[in-house]
Amino acid sequence: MQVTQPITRAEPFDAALIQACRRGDRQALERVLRAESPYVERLIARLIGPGADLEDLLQQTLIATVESFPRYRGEAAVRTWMARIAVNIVRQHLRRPHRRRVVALELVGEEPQGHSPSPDGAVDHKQQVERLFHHLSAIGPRKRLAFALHVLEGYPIEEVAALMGATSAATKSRVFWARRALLGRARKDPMLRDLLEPEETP
Amino acid sequence: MKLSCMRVARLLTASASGLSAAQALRLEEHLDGCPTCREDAALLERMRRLSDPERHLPERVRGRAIDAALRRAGEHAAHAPAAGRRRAPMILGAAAVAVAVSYLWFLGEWGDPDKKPEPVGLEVAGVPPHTATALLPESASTPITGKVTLQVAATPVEVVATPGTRVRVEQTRVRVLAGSVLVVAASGQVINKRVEAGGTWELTAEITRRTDEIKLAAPAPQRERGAVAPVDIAALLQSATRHLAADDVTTARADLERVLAARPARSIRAEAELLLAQATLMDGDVRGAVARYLEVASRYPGLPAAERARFQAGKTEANFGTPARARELLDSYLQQYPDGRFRAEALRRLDRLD
Repeated sequence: MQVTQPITRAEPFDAALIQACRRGDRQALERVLRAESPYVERLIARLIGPGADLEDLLQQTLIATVESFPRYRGEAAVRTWMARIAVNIVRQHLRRPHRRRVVALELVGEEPQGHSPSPDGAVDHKQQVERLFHHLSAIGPRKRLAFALHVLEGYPIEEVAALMGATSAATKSRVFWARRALLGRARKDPMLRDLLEPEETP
Repeated sequence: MKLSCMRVARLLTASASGLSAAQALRLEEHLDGCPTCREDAALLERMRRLSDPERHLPERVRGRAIDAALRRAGEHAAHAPAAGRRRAPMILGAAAVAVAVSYLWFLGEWGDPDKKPEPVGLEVAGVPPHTATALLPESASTPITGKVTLQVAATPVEVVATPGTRVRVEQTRVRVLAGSVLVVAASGQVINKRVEAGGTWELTAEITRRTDEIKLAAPAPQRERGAVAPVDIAALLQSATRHLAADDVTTARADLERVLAARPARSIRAEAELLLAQATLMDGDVRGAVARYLEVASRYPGLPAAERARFQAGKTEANFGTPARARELLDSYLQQYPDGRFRAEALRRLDRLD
């Protein structure tokens, strides 16, 4: 399936580097993985939410990338191709019946840069994030992924369809039903209903 | 032209950058006068921000993931065939080894290769609803009734069978000998596939264990021949509607299959099939849903469900399919039901398509 628009405006890698990656050249692979892993990590985090699975899924995606590189034909940008691998891996993860459902409160390490919210505000924010992903987890994996990619991450329907190997019509329908289910659940959730209150101005 | 709330819902899910200036203006106008859509818009926007990953993995953790991938690259290089060598013989070899290993594994598990496993009599007495878990041996020819979880693979395959159904379990597939089944889920993936007699469904995982153990859940009270009591049918239809509203398509579908298995009156059957069409749509199968709607419309002429089904087919095309086909179906609805219940909405939708 053709990707009708580029997923990002990423600069393409030069052909020699890609060829070296196909041969399994460690330095070439490292260069590509270091350049693309923050993007892939962000995508996975958007799809599954905060939690300990992020590192596992990132690692699985990078390993699958390395293993699949000899078959990479260059029809899509490396970033698009890696996004497709990541989406597949996340989809498999979401399908597992006994996957961890607990959302870890603490991710490893670094504090977000920029503004420093009050402790109460930070706790509320964490709880809201947890509730949001809790409700997302109640939606079927395909609908959830289509919604997260299109509505939360902002990919056009055609790109979401290409990433998920689905038709545009099916993707539109999944987004529609996921949106309906999620808004329905969010309105009944006191923690998320707060989101409807106007934001405080600084 | 003013936007409808439905159209706004679709525009709201698109990213801001995906809207044309005209669309953005019309959206803004609508939001100014529609508190419900304004609330939805606010909620979706906050969700976007809430889900924005503000924390990233520390460099050392990301580095660990990259190192693991590069180590794999090293292992690959050590075992990879020389560049340019044909891979086909290796793949065929690997497949042959896999087949041989799995065959030997099966022999090892059951010992005597000549001894055929005894068929498992999964006699779920009476009529639906019944829930059973059966761990079946290969080649078992098994009668099943009601809702049954066949644990022939690493993960259960849930099926809803019509009375008199018999299945045979083969290594990576299950063959339906008589009757029909709806395969509800396999490996955690909803597949909703109907298999008629003579058909098979492939298992998504290797069979990893086989045993003759059968566990039956507490059976429902025995009833007279002829399936579900009328009160149950009404309750099942309500339950299906409720589950569809809650986005639980699997349970709704199972409820509806049970309604249909009970051979209810024609009007009930039409309602159940109409809801099944909606379940198909909610599964993301737009083509399948439209086909089902049209089937209901042609199979039950004169019933209210038929009119609704014909309109829904056009509406579904208008929402998710192609405008030309939507126009054709909505025109067909108006021709057939010139004073129908959905006339005004059909005209509005046609107007919007133009």
